[in-house]
Amino acid sequence: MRLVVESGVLYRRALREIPRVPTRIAFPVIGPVMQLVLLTAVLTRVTQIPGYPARSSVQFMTAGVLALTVLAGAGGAGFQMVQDIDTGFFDKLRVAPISRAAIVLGLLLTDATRLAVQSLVVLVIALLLGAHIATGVPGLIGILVLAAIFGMAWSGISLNVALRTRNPEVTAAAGVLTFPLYFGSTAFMPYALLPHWLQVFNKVNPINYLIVADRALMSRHWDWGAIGGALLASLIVGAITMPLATRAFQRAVSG
Amino acid sequence: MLVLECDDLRKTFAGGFEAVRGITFGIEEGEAFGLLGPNGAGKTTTMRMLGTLLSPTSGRATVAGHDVVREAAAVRRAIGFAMQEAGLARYATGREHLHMMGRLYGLSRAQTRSRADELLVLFGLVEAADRQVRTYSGGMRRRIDLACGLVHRPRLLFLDEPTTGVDPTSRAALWEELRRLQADGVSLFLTTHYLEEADRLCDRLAIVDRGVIVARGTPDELKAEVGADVVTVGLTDGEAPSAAAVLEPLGRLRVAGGGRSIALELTDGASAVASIVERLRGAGIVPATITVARPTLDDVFMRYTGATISEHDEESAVPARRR
Repeated sequence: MRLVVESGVLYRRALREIPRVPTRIAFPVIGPVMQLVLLTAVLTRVTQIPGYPARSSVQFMTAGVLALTVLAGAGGAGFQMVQDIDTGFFDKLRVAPISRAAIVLGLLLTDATRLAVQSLVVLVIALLLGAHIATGVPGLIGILVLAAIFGMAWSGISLNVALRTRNPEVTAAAGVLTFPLYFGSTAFMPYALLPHWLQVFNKVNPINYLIVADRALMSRHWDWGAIGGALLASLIVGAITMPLATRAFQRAVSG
Repeated sequence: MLVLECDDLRKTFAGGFEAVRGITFGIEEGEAFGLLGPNGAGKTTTMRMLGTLLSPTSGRATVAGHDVVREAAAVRRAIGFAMQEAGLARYATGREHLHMMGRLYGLSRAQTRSRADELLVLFGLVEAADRQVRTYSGGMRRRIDLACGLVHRPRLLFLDEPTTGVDPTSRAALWEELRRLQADGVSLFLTTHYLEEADRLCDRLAIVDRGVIVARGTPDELKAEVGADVVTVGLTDGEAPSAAAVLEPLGRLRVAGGGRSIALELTDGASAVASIVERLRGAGIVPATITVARPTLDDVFMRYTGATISEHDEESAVPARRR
């Protein structure tokens, strides 16, 4: 019960500060939005390739852009943490009689919320560009929930970097290192048209599972196999990043 | 009754640096106790161990009767901690800070609101309450930080260099506020490298140098240990021999300033002034000036560490880091 109150207080605090630093919510969506607007236009003719599964490039590529939004935005928790360590606010929390887990939980929930909002922005732009969501409003909500869940697991990476380096620049840059997972995914081309080695790679690429699930909700139906795959990928990513982050965190708080 | 007690506290950092090498002291309920020393002496490290932010390498400490290692949560509830760098969330307002802390320290929503309003008035921050703290001056940051540490009405307040980086006017105002808190029954534990701050604020203090306590006592006791007061009597030409004759019995004296003044060493200069004037008058001499100089904590510091505190600071190129 105390954990709920405490992480709630810290969640609302981080959430309140987001609009006060508009760059934090705007910057991570700039790249995805550019891809959505320009890259899909550049690739208009891609639909003529035999085997391309959609009638428009926007319809196909939105799922990938949604995944990119999550990758680009999931550094928020780490960035906030490293900033709090830097200002000494982190010490103020450490000296308060609160659960250590609340500090991390508050940040992860903030990331989840922010990623859902950023994903919504991307989706609205995609709809304006002519995409449609086959599963309707429930599917839209499903996409946002997937972004939040996958994003929390992915935030574990930035938390690790933040706690181990305590350097805001490195923490911000570390997100870029995950981009190969995106460029190698089915974000731009369907699985069937990828070279064989990338097909193999995408069997273990967690981001691709998110893309496949989003794409199913965008263009087909509630494909529970695909959605289950995305949830399982989140679970596995979280199972790797969270214990490592917890250990780094323990070291940071015990002094 | 002791509100804080530590026994042979030590901290050796990874890499072998011994920041604290066996520190023992106690703080009485209601007392203001200070650790005085140059940067890098181990003051902040000691305070962070006692405040549960750093685990001691060895030694034992209790705060409000709770062991700082085994009962950290109880210690945290009993203390308020205003840190050296006033750890504030830049984009949050002053009021939001107080609301956050109130809730985190277990106050109800209503309690938190009224306590926050109370503290904002107390620290003169009502007008700035809804501004983000990144717009605050150094003094305001210290005040809101202090207010945050007081939300839950702690018995003991930790103050790490409370006025470093604060302009002289705000410093005097902060001292005023701290003394008021003490009058309300809050015990104060502070570190400082300002002699004046130690002198004005602390009931008792310990001088720390290179990780150990080298002297302790009330500011007056410490100064008395160093030596006597010096009373200097200004005279007109030719009066020195007769003045020296009548003042001789009071204490050690020497004629200075080419016979135009006499310097007397006395244990209590101030109360001797009357009898000095009387004796001089008996000899028909009216002194031009009389000044009493007391030993300063700087003299005390010099005696125990062999350097003045400012020399020390220049020396320590590597400042004491947070961790």
